[in-house]
Amino acid sequence: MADKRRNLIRNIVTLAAIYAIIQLLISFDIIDQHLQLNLFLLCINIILAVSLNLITGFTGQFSLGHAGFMAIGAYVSAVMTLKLHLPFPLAIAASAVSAAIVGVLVGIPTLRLRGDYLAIATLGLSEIIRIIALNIDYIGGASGLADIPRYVNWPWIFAMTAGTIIIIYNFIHSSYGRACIAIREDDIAAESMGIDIAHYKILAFTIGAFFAGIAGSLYANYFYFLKPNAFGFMKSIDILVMVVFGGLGSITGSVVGAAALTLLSMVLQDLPTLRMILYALLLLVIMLYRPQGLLGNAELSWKLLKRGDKDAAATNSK
Amino acid sequence: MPPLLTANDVSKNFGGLNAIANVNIEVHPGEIVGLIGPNGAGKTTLFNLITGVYIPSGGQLKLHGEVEVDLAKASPHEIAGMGIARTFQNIRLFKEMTVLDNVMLAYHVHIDYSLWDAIFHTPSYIKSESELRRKAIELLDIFDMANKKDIPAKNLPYGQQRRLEIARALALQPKLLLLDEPAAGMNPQETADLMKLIMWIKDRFNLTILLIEHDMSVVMGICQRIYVLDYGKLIAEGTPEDIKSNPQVIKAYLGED
Amino acid sequence: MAVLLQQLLNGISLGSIYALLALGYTMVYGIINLINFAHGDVYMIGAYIGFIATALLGLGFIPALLLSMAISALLGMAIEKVAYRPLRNSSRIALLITAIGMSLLLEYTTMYIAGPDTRSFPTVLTNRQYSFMSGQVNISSMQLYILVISIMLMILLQFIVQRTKIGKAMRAVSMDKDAAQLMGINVDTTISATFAIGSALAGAAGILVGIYYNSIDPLMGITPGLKAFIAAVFGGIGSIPGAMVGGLLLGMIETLVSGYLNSNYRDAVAFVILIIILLIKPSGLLGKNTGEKV
Repeated sequence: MADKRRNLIRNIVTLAAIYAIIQLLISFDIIDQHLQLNLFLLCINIILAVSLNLITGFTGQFSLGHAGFMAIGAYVSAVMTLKLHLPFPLAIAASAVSAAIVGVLVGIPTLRLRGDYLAIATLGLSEIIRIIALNIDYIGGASGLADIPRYVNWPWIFAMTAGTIIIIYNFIHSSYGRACIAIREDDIAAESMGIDIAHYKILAFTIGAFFAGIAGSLYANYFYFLKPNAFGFMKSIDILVMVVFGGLGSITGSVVGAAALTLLSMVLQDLPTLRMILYALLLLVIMLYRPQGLLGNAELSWKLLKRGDKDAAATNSK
Repeated sequence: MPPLLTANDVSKNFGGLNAIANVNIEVHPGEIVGLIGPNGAGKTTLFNLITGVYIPSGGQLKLHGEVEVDLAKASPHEIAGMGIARTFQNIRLFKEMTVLDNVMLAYHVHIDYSLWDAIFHTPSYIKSESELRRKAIELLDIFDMANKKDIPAKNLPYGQQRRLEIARALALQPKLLLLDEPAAGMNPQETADLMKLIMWIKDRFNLTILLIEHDMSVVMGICQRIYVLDYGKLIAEGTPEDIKSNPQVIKAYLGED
Repeated sequence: MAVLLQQLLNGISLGSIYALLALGYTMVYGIINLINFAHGDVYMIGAYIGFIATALLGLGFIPALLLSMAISALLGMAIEKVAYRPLRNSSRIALLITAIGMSLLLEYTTMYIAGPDTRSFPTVLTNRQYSFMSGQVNISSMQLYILVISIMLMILLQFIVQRTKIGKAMRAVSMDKDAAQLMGINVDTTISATFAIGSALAGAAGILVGIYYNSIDPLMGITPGLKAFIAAVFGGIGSIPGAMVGGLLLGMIETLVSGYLNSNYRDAVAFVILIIILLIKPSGLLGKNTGEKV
């Protein structure tokens, strides 16, 4: 218990320190506009990757439609702030809830599907969302919405990112999270242990979509403008790559994955084609040589950092 | 004493093939009942029918607890919740989860904290989880595995994987335990230990056990009654002595080889 | 009536392209249970080879078609050997992600080399319009070419699968890999051949589309690729006649929707069909159901 409390305190102190240092750097303009943009993008990507990891990494439901949930959140938030002039806290809450509702709707029909069939169905559903957005004039159709008010600042981004990580971490480390992992490991055995598989699959989709909706809202109210094609198939793949790169079933892995790939895009942003080639090669190399991702299903922790990750990696690899 | 589980004229066919045909069995509280028969006789199919993995094509399957339940109408997780736990012939552990988590998972139906508590790690979550952890370790201790609680289940040796599956089933706190070939792949020493363990947990947890087993020393050693299946039909039932001398059983087994 | 006929004709041309592509998906899925995301990109490469052959090398249509099919076949085999074979025993998700990686690699390498712009094909075939019903229904010679070539290729495929030794091996491996191996069938060669045949068909579809629409670009394979996969699921994944039927039906439904309802929703139709078929009959129109053993 004392050990747990010490860890908790250490985590709180670390979070507060990260928040304060970055806030200071922003205040003194050491983190300039350009860096700040990439930092915010990184945080949005972390939220997306961690929430997809809950669905795909922990519950084992292979989803290729995460961008669809993000799109719902982004559009709801944009319409509420731009067209209805509602306050941002309300908009972000509504984004999360509407994405979660869509998550339930996506979760229900996909219950009967597994593996690649589920992947292709979620891909289809998110494409349908995008095509519908393309055809609604109220939200700007293909040209999208512009001049969305910018409400997102560092406190917002930080709170949402840290909140997502903490809530999903806590969920995973509870009886509910164990049920999700058990479904991933062996759904027939999980059922025989009294787990209502349908309930948990939908729950995972709902929670995952909820946070993707938040990411969408942050995106819309930071970047001023959005259009449907930003939420296509490639965006879903992008998020999946972050999760896979970091390790399916590792929350810290998703953070590392999001950071690595956001950094890669930042460095190569003037060479978009080359960036995609590298991206593709990275995917192939990871799958061929380390299919479990950087961290596998281990978590980066204080203990691990101190000891070096040798023994933890040894128990978790393969 | 009234039976705990009854199968009345139960059948199951797969595309015209009768895997189980008009089977009648009764299991009484506190009994250890054996289910034997050559390969492909329909033993595991019967387990799958009892646990709701398959729906019977005909007949009735009932669990007689405080209320009578029609098992044909319940889904697998509901049946587990009613107190029927099982192990699998081909070991279905949650491989990447730790030994402890495998057991803790099975307490799931008895959890008393909400999703809200879980997400915010409220005092009610903390209290409930640490209680659960204590119980799970206690259970693992019975199986001599408490010292292995933190390693992934897949890293256990084969015999211990089988034992962990039983421990996991017990964590569900069942009334009826179904064991599908618990001694498969074990050496004679492990088998002897397993028999002692089964007898012990039956008394300790007040269980009724139905078990499929090929190892006759196990079946004859611990079962009070035995049912014999062949080609989906019940060909004999009785005490171990009756079964040993039953000519039809001998024929079914010799005909197999 | 005339409008409907015209729509159906257009639908059949589009549908035969989907069918050619769907065949590759269904064959590969049947044999190694993989959604080969890179298949649409093989089709794109096929179109580029066709472009090089006609515009740069000045070849005629038939030599260009054959060259494109041959190089696509080699490419398909290479992809299988480099990316999929080493992962044959890994998880499905690893295999699928590898396929996505392969797809991106082909798209952006092409973009890097050939540039992101759309290119137009030279006219290699004279395009005549044939009119019926006093000019209300038109069919172009290009549409006829697509139809005739697709049908010929499908007949050839049926012949290969049903009558030849390699076809028998393909059917055996897709039913039970281990048993086929025990029967002395070389599983690696058979899988390789499956990729070669499927990719050759994709290459043919690529050059046909290039000539028909007169424009090609490095990302042209994504949407038709997804749709052809949907066509394969629609018809029943793993079933060769299913892929043909699924492709033709999808093509016709799409043109009907864009003709009678709203052309903006054309791309959504395929996905709606996909969701419906997956929920109602996941085995597809002509597929078989399979369950998991406990």
